[in-house]
Amino acid sequence: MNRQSNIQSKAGTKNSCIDSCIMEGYNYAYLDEQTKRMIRRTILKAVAIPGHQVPFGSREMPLPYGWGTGGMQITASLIGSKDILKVIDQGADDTTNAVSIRRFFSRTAGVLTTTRTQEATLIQTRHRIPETHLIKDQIIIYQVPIPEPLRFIEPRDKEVRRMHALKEYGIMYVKLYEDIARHGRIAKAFDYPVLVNGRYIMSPSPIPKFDNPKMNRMPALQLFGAGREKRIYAVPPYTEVKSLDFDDYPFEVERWPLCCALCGSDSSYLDEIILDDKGSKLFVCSDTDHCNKRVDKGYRGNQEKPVQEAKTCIRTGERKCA
Amino acid sequence: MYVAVKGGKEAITNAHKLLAEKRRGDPRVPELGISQIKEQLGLSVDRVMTEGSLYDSELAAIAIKQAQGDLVEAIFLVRAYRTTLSRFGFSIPIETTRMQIQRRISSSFKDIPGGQILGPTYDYTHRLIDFTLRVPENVNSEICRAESAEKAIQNNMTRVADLLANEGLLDNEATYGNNGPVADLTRDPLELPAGRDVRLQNLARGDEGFILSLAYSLQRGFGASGHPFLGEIRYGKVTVEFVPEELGFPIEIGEIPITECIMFNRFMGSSDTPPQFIKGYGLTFGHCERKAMAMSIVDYALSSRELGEKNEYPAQDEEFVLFHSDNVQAAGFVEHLKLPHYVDFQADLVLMRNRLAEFKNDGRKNRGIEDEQAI
Amino acid sequence: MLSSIDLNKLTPGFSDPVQDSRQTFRAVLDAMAHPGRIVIIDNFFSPPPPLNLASAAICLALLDFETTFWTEDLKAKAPGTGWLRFHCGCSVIQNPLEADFALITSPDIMPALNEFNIGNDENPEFSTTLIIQAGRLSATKGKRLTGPGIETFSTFNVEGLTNRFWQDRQSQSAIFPLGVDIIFTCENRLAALPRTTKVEG
Repeated sequence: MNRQSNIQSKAGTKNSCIDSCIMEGYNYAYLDEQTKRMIRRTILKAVAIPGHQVPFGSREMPLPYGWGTGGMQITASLIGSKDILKVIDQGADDTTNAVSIRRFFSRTAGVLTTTRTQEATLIQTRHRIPETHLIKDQIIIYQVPIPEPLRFIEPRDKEVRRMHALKEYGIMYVKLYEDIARHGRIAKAFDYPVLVNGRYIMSPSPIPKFDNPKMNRMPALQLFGAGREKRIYAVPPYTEVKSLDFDDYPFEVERWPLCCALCGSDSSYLDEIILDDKGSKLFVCSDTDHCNKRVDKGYRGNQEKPVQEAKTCIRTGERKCA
Repeated sequence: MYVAVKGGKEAITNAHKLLAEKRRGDPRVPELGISQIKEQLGLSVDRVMTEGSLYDSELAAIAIKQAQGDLVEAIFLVRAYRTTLSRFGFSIPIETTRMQIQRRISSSFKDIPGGQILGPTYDYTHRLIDFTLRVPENVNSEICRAESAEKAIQNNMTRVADLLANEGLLDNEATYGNNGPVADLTRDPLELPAGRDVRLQNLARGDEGFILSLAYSLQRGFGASGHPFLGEIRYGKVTVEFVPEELGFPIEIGEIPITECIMFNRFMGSSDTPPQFIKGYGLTFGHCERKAMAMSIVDYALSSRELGEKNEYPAQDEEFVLFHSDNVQAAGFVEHLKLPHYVDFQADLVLMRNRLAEFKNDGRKNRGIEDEQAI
Repeated sequence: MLSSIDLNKLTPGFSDPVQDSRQTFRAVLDAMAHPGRIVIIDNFFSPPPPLNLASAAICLALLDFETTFWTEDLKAKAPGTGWLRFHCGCSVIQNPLEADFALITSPDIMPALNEFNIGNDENPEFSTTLIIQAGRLSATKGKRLTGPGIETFSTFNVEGLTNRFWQDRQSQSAIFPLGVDIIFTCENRLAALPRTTKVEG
């Protein structure tokens, strides 16, 4: 297939960009070299201890805390001229914060950017994992607001660090079990806790639990940065990531009985779009790259009848749009 | 036909243009100069330098101008610049007894060696709007100049605390057992329990409003220590000295104005510590008196662990105080709620819709049972 | 106290410190995320003996005044130590238990792995990262590696290590998440063995 590349650079060719675009008065990729070394050492330890939150000397970034400073510090420590960067927020490349972060790295590192998942070497994300399967040697960097999965059960840092140290995760299971007793299900729709490599309970960042299964044995390296909370953690490629559950209440992802109104996808995570004051709505893919790719291939949704239930095929059990 | 929204890039560019326009305001009004901010909004500059952890009045003034006077935004600008600066080394500790004093008062003693020096203060002003300030040239520059005193204020003024220390009535800081290298929060993550060096650095960088309210809560009764006494507050210039590796002796690299506050807190004694007054300490760049006082009150409250006191109030809880004092962190995280969250909200919507459907079903079931029982 | 460095004999390090550090780090990250994968450092400079190119590059990329460094046979006056002290500014220490990084150039006489820092329960990341200059690295035959970073299993061999080393490494798997992480180097090649990797054969 002869697909046109979507790689964008600020100034025409690759080389001229690297020489000319880099912001004056600041080091390459903004951070000073000493800070990068500190972050790099932290990343290596994080990779060696999957799921363990490693404290690091997080710096002030020129974006506010809570807006991706942790992810940006990791990206700034990794990024170089051979990288192609994709930045998404809520699955979309064109959300304002994604645009702002992408622009930051093209200004400070003169790096090439793309919206195509398969072209990217580095993907910085907030709240989603792309629908396109990530492959070997890609690196996905998650922006993390609260890295501590036990925080809302036990707010004290001293206590939770002891629990992680001793693998004493009783309170987490009690909490999940209480949910089931009270609500008939685990009341966690996003930031659903996972167990990494059978040792550490980890926050997957606030991705919807729909995305949790993608983390398990993912061929790409997964790095997590929490700037305000000053923690970095990682999941190496092909590492077991299990969403916490019980034998009688196995983990389930959101059932999605609808199709994307633009591309007709019946298997991707959908955003609900409210169209008018009467509350009419339709659903579209949250992953804009995935959606565009399908539209390019000729797939179409049905906007006449936008809220369309996918039918379960009796033969295969798959859900299909009518 | 629904088409997905695009154009984040143009939207941001346009927003920046609008912001620049709003910042400038009506172009018929003369633009603010940096020196005007430095000279006439000095207390704003001082707060931005203190919480920005960077002594540079020029930079703080630019940040205030850029932030349209929003000091938390200006502090953020200064911090984000500071973090990119490389370090040459560490100055030797400043000596505040050698301060060139402009203001110095103690409310613990009626008179003190060197005297009470009121200096430039709002303390005894009547808070009446001065309408003469509305017309710029109305205030004659002659009237603005204070007459110089007949006698110069003495330099090298002993701190009030040092006068009391001789009696053994004041802690000698050994309680904190802190003689190692001074920690630096801007390089290393906060680890608990935190030493006093870390706590003081955190409070000095902390939001004035937050620290002020914590101090107030301690005074109002959410604190065990009772009434703190202002041992001394002093404001003036101190010399900063630095030892270059190749010289091996200190050289003067400049003078900076600072505010220092020492608060006395009554401590009734414990099994191994005699009864005494414990000092609470506050220090800021420039003139930030309210902040320095609040800081010194909270500093003492956070010493409950070392003093073997109960830790029962919010302002004594170092984890609560230290993790929530920074306004750059707090503002960022509160304001990040402006970022899109629709993916997570969608996940919660699905969960809540299911839950509501079940709730309605359960309701019907429950009513059915009641009906049967009624029969 | 360490003696002063003979500045006249110092050879240069990275020609482009920003980009060369970054590339070296990415090589180490690649190796650490894929245990047993052999990664090439694409750079050229002449570190003094006994440092090989890969070891020298790793030190330049990761060490600085905030890290402690231990090495067994580079005496204070040895050209290698002086070179590292000058280029990295790292503090060279005597006790391997306190080392963030350790460089081993004679693996046949190296200390036992538990003589290095293995971290503690709350901070397993405090452990030492060992850079071991060994003989040839090979991915075609040898030990069978499994664990995070490896899809099914990978094959890996490194020459010049003693049986005791592998026994040591074996016994470290019982103390996970504590333990040291190891980077093997040979000329301009490197491979990593993080504490998570299970070694058989």
